[in-house]
Amino acid sequence: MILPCDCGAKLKIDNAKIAGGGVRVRCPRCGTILTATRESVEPAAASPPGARPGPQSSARSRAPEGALVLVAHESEEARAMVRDILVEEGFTVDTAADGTEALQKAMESKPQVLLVDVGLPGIYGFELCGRLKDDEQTNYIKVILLTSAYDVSRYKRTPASLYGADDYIEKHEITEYLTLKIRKLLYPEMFEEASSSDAPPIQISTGRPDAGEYEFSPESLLHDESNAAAPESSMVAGGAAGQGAEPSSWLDTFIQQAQDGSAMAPDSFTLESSVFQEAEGSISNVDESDPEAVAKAKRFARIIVSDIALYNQEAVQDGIQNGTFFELLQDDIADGRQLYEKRVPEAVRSGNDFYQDAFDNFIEAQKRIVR
Amino acid sequence: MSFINYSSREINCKIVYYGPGLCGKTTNLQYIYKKTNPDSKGKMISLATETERTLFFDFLPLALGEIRGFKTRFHLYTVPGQVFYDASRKLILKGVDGVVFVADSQVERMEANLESIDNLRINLAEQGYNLDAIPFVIQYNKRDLPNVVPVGEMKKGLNPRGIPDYEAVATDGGGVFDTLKSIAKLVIMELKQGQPG
Repeated sequence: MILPCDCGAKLKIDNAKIAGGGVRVRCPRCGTILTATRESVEPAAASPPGARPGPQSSARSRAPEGALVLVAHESEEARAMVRDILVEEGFTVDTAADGTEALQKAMESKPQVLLVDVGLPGIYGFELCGRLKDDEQTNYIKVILLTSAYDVSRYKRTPASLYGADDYIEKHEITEYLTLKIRKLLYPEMFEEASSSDAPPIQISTGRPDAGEYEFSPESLLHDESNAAAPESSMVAGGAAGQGAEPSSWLDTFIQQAQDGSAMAPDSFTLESSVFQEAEGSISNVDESDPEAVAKAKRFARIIVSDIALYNQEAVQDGIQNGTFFELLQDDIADGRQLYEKRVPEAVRSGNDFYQDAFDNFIEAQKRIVR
Repeated sequence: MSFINYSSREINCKIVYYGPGLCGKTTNLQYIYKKTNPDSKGKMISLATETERTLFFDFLPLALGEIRGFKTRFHLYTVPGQVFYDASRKLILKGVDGVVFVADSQVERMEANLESIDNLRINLAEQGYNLDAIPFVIQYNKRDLPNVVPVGEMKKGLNPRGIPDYEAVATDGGGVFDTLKSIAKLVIMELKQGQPG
């Protein structure tokens, strides 16, 4: 089974390892203790939009299948990739190639979620967001801004404002977090209550005017011990029914994926994300045979150091004074090295570590200033 | 490329303020925003961090009169200057009509200026633009600080072609509108040259 953690990690757990009373696991990303118990979920029977589930079905999960997500991105390849991911997870997907088309489709088809590239041609993502949020007809649409700002793992800051958007995601996070972020926006109660096994079923409005209401019970993902006694066959049957067929909901997909799992591991959904890497293209390399290459590498190393220092002045001061410079700035320094190695050809780098030299020289210079 | 809307008779031009981290690009836009007639400007968007460092870009729409019956609207953008954010800079340069390079006059940032202007040239070339052929002006900012490089030296390093350049202290507005007027003029001249009649 897949056990989602609030931090965004997805823990894949081998069903065979789950004892009758469940198993406690620690999320390797955030350390939260989660309890996984045997599931006894049956796929929800289809019911007409707007139909209220009866008491029997309220004890089970009613999958939020078919939620419409509009994906607005200039790149056809990127749109196709996101579409595949979302369709696989049971969402309905429409796409738009520019801001004008996205605005038109958002007005006409009333999606529940809009995933919009910040740099969308025609109308920028945040402008589109502003227009939709200012309009009573469309302000319910959950907007996720898609950014390409970072091609480094950590050297990032949280935006102070998203201009009305509900969330943002970086391109390299798409495969791992997009569906989770969408679900958190559409069904926040699910994530708030998921740890409480006694919580009553929650009525969830999709926000889509004509889509009716769905009901979701958190027990479906995390059963309490009383449910653990339920026959496993129900889960097997659910999975068997889905084998070879299109998953009818994201919950079915969860179950299917759970059956494939043989070990507990975070970040288990790793799909092809190379289509986004192009946009994050690396800076052109210098010519490694050119004697100027060394001078350029040195200069680039100094600039990385200078930029890191400029944006971390307090840490630099503390680090120089207390001899903890490399400790305090270790993450930035690691990101800087990653960038340095990406930009500077190996032939140039292999002779001398200009990056380290740049830091050493910087620290020496700073110490002289302090003296 | 400038976007001409014939039905609303509007011309939209994109000007990008480029330069190394913390050189004053956002400060330029903030000053322009502060000092512009409310009727002439739109909302200034600043996708910045909690520490006010530009994350994606700043954006300021500005109306600057009419050209042959077409309202001309300038969209001013800044880029994040740090070396780490090259992907963002490339994105923001898409469809640019004119570039202002904001140089930090402090001696310790000269290398960052040189790296940034090289980076500008490369990123423009990747999109089919030639820095020597598009409207381009340079601003030597922070001239009020004590540790500045002489303007002559800065010209030698950053402006060998002798394009229009201006000294500035963006925090108090000195040179900010001179720079803007200069780039706007170059962009409009380019537009007129590209139009028949």
